[in-house]
Amino acid sequence: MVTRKVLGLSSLVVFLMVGMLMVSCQNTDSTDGNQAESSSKASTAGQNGNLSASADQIAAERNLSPKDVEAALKTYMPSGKHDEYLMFSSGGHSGQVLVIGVPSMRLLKVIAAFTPEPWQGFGYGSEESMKLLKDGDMKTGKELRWADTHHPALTETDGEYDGEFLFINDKANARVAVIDLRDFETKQMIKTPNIISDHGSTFVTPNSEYVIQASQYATPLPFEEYAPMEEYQEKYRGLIALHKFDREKGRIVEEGSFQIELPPYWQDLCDSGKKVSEGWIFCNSINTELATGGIGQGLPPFEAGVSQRDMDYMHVINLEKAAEVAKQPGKTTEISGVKVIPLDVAISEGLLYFIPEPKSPHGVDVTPGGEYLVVSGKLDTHATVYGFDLIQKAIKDENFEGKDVYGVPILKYNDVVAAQLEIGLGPLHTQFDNEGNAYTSVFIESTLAKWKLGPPYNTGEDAWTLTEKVPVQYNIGHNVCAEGDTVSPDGKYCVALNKWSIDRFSPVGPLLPQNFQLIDVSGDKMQVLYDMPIGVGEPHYVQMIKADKLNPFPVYPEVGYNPGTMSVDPDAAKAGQEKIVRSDGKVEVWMTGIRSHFNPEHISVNEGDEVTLHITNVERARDATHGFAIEGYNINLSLEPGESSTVKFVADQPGVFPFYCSEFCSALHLEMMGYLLVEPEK
Amino acid sequence: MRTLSTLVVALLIVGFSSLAFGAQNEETAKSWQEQATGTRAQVMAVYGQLEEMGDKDNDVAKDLIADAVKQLGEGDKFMKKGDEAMEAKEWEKANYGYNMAWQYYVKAATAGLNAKSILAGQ
Repeated sequence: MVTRKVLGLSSLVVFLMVGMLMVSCQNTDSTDGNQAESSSKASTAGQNGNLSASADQIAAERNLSPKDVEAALKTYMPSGKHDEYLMFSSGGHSGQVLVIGVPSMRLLKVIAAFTPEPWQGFGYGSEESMKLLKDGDMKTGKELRWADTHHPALTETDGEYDGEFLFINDKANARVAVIDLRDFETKQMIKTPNIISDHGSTFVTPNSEYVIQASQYATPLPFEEYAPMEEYQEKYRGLIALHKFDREKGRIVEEGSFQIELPPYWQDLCDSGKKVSEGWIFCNSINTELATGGIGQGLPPFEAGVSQRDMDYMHVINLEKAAEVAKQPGKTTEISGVKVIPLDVAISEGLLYFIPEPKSPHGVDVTPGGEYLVVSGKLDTHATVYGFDLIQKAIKDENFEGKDVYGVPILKYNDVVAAQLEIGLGPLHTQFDNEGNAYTSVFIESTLAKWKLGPPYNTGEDAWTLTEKVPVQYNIGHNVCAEGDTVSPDGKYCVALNKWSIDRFSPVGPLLPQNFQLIDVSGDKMQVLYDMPIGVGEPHYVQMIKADKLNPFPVYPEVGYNPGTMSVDPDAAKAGQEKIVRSDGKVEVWMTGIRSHFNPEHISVNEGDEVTLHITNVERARDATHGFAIEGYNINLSLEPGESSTVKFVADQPGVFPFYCSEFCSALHLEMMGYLLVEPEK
Repeated sequence: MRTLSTLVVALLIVGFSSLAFGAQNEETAKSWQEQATGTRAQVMAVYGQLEEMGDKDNDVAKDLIADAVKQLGEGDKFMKKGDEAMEAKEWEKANYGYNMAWQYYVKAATAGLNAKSILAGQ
């Protein structure tokens, strides 16, 4: 049992000295001027001795242990200092993306991705955001206004995060969004044809040529077709979508995109091969039993049916070859306007192979050099490691144990497994560091397990050994380590993405936040440093990038910039050229905003007029954002410095409606307003 | 007192090492029976440890223990169904009963281990 000790003065002093030294050492390695300054101040304070005495008192009063103080020293970020890493986290049910600093664990921004978000004026009238949301609706026109974001994927160059774009999926509706990291705004939303749910998404190839999206719950293909459950094996299918990404356009494009039909084994997480395995992709599956549930009819529920077999199938897909096949005439079928490689073609062309993998796997993670694939079956206790070279040899030798019911060749398990480690109860996902270690989340026992990879990372007795586990609170899902799924992970920090927080935070009713726990992995022993509650949804996966790889705009490059096109909008209002133009039943306004007024301030229209406002924030000062809200009309825009936006609406409510700046911008912010006067129809 | 890690290892070995289900026959039913029985034994070991530690009047731990007991009870109901089906040589039903029992025992273990973690840190 752990007994918490209150620090004595002497131990605290020693501890703080160590802490200061650590801060100092960290800064030696850093080129960040802010951090160097911080180090200097800390050392000075330590030398004066003032900090020690006061800190001792604080620690005593707050009942902080030496470990607590050490953790605080490792995470505290003085005002004005910046974090070394940024995490991009799925926002779960919020349908958004969270941006979080590491090690401070401060929430920096919530990026509106799939759901309306008023602060950013996303979905509250601006033409740009309304179009995006519409693009993500069902093709029947059914509006989708919630999303279950799961797996963010940063663009990569040669397998390294490049900080240019971010992709995020919506598991609930099989959608993908593209976020431009120049302004941290969503630029594209795609409702992927043919599938209606996805889990294994988004993942990118090492140069982001493709965004990978695998379906999860099998349906008829396309999902709009009807087939009863009795026809599951015959008519239901899985699918993997390969979205071609045009980096120059910053968009997923139709040309070059294609899909591959798969058996109806709920495809789960995927990963892209890297370095030696580049050109291949790997996806798990979890229902090779072809279970169809039916608890209401007295049949075994999915939870039992889907976990019957010892093994499921990892899907090994030759992407490079598939892309070539997709271009060949007669090799694809068009479904819902998309090229689909049918399953029989995928088999005959040697695009798809199966490998038995421990039951109900959840993670497949490729090592930094691409040599190994780590799979953890959540109902198995092991991390099973497959050798890419062994897989290639087995395919070349056509060394199969047989075929599945759909005719897909199955490689012999024993021929392709390089190692298997006893990890713990319910292992899920694995990330890597820069010293040949792997970190696997272990759900049921609530731990993060650290273990050593084999050659070339470690050799001899060190190879493939479990070295340490640290308890986390509680029920860890994914974990993330600094750049831990790239070709050159950094180590330093991992974060446990815990599904349950139970007692970690002040009670806030029965719905509790998730718990992100920052873990220092730089020393001999892992140390939990910080608990961060996430109270906006259930985040699923996170990527952690070095902050200096990002290069966002401080303000938009030119006045009149349209974030939708990332260029100056020809319709943008210009300072000194504000105007109102009226024609039959239409009113078009060119308006500017600057601290602390809009121009024009009076807009008079008739009931029933179609009103179009082109509004430009002509500010060039950093952070001089203006909002534009019209009361009673459900309209709110966010106009960042230089931004131009357009809003259209019908003045269908007569009366007088103030409009105002909804972002506190200046001392006279309250005065930054105007009136929309809607004269009743005569 | 056995440590948490010892317990987890025991759970791993007994609870997860004998999985063989899918062919729906006597052999697989017996395998699932063995697995469920072994996992239940380990859940009881966790419970024993929790009793030894006492709930320390910790409401959160008490709730988790109550949840573990409930999951255990649900598991036992399915265990009984599995046994009855086994007796009647209905292998598919037996497989299902033991599989479901095991699912509940795993949930019981999760709750019990979390309770233990909380009490150990108190």
